[in-house]
Amino acid sequence: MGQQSIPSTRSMRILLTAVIVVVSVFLNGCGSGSHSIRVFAASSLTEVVQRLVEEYETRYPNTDVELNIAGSGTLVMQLQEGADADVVILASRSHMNQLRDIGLVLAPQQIARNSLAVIVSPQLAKDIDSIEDVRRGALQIAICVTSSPCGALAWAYASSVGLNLSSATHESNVKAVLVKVERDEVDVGIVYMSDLRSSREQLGHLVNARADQYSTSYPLAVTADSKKRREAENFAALFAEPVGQSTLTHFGFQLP
Amino acid sequence: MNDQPKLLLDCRIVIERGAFKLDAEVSVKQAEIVALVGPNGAGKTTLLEAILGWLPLADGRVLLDGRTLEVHGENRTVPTHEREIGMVFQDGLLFPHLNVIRNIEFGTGTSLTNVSELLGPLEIADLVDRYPKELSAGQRQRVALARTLATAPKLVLLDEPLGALDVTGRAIARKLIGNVLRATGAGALVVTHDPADAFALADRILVLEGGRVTQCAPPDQIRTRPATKWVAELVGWNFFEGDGNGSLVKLANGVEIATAHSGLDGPVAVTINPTAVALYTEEPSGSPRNSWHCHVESIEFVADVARVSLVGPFDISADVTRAAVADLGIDTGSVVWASLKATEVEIQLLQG
Amino acid sequence: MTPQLPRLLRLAAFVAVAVVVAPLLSLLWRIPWSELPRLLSTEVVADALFLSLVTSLIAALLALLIGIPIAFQLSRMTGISASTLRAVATLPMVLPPVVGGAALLFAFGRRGLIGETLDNAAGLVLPYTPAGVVIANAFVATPFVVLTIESGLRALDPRYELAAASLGVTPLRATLRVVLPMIRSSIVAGAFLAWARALGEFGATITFAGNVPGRTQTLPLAVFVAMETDRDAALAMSLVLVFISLIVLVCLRDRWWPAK
Repeated sequence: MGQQSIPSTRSMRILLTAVIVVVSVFLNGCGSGSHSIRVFAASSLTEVVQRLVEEYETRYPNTDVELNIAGSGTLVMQLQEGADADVVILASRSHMNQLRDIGLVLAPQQIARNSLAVIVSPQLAKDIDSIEDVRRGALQIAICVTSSPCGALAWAYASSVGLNLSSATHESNVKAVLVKVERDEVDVGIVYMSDLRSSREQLGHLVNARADQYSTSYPLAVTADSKKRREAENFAALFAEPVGQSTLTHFGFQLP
Repeated sequence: MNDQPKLLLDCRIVIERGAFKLDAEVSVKQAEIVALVGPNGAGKTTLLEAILGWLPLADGRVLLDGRTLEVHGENRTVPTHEREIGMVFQDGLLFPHLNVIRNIEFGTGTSLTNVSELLGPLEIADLVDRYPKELSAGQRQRVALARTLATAPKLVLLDEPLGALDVTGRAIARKLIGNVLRATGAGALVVTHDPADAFALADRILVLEGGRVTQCAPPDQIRTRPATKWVAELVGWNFFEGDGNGSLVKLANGVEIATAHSGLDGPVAVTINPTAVALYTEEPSGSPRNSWHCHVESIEFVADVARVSLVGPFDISADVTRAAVADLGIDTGSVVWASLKATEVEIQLLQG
Repeated sequence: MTPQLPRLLRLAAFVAVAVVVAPLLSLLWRIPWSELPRLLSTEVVADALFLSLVTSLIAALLALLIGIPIAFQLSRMTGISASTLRAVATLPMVLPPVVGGAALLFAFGRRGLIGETLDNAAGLVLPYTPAGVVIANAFVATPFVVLTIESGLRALDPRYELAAASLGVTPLRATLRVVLPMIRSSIVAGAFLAWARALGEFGATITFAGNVPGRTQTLPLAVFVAMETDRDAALAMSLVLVFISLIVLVCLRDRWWPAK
């Protein structure tokens, strides 16, 4: 009855084996090649890290760099759940401490600083001059989620200037905040100076809002169980070199 | 001519569905019950749906009580819900989520009042709180009729109202429906495939075959002068078509039948009542000029009557008594002589 | 007697069930049961739960309001036009939710095609408001209503409407008094499916309505945010969502696609 329509047992077995082989190759991943390293970086460092990856790959042509960019909180969670990485660069000391405390990283070093900036969408840039204007108008604000360094700083800053964040939308990373302000989907955003510098839009910037008094530092560490210790340290070293320093300042970061 | 009840339904329905074409003129007078019979696929249900306005006409018109409901080619078609035509469906089609009384009151817009008069005659007064799934087929049909009559339509269409009932149920229902319909004074068009229903209920019978009306006459005339083979079979008569010549009719297969008519010329239809066919075990002598050598194909007994189907020079049916069958000692396969008096042969002239 | 499944199929089914059930069991295994009362009584959770329940219910109702007329229209159509309309109406179900959210943004965002007019004319802004959440949820939930109700309507004997018309009842009243009651189970199934979908919606909500705690941070969004900081709270809220989903499924029982 059904015998003719099912493929024979032998060909089923071959098919099953082929599927298993393909799937396991796929799962084990591209990129655990003999000469590549994985770098996890906070999203605020996107442009800097991309530039330095180019530099690294030019210097060490035999080694690829695989980049994973996300909010610091997301990166921490991924590493806690067992993700593989060789170099980790986060946007706050407390986030890095979470990893250090469970032995996932060794000896973090600070490679940059970044201070907060209050930005205004192109539409309203001319009308909003001060934090007072923001307080008064019923404006839509965007900040990072509280669990991220940028978000935590934003709350600290807001309470110091009496800014009400109860109707602010929380974005999962700082680039998302920037994009929303650039596109006028929100009126005001609290981001990093580096983000302001990287933007090509005519954003407003509240220079007198004293946001720059709030800043975060960027720890970089090589993971404890990295199998590419030397390559990882080569990459890390770039940040202290002139090329790294100039890249950082070019994109609006401050040196540690 | 002045006593003639006025014309209620006056319509010509033309519907085209693929290869099938329905083209029928139907009329129903006030307080008249017309039965619509015909073989399956003849278009009976289609005809009812067209009169209701559920199908657009390819041609023709529908007039009710002088009011134009639909004319092909003109825009002002009256929609179904404004036609004052009610329909009782084959399986009742009661709304399952409403109980009997709410079904009956559905179209009236008010509650109870004139509805209660219908409950008694239809013998459904004690069912008012039940739901359709709790009723028997016969009860559902009566409730369906009550539901339609409650809206006091001018014309009632019934599609095989007794179809779901068994033989005894039918006899009772036939009477009830007949009485109730006449009591309302509305006109009615009843589709049925059972000739007993048609003959019991109808003032006039309309025969629909292959989308065309082939006969429209009172029951007696249908019974005694069937116009087509199907109608003849319906009333159980023998029916043949042949060529008339003087007093003889020659059938297509060469058999000649002697009749008591003279001056026959051209195509004629011959109908023979089975009771007029006599059976003999030997070739008969005497007055009948029509006798044929046949053998028995089958015998069916209904009460005291035996319907004997014969095959021979042509196929003919004879009705004899049960006792006669026994006396003659005939059974399937037996050889008999069938004979028929010329005076018993009915002739109808056919056009064209 | 139903014949037994061939061995290979039974094995495959077992594996498939295990794959589906394993994540749920893992979730249940990791939940800090003793801490549950404390975790669930925070303001974040209370806000998110309340917002989720209210917006999902309103979204389900909105999905019914939009979906029922579409289903009725579809049930009268055949051929290419029917397939086209059905595809369009089902699109939000097939589209990745984030894409759906982006589309809503382009339509109803502050600078959107329609949104800009709404803002200028009436000062009405949908993103970052609970209304925005309702819209996003209704958008993804409507196809469920359309599909269940259309199938219920097609299963209905069309002669019932003829019967109602023959009794002198207008088409509108016939729809209200005959058709809708007779497809009751389809409507209920559609409503429950819509509600379940609205409750679980994430991508369209966060893209269109944003993530404002207390205003647009529904339970799924709160879980997402909590995953990074307070894993236990995330688990607790996940449990709430699983629990509500189970309730919806139990209410639906076998009324998924009414095939009377």
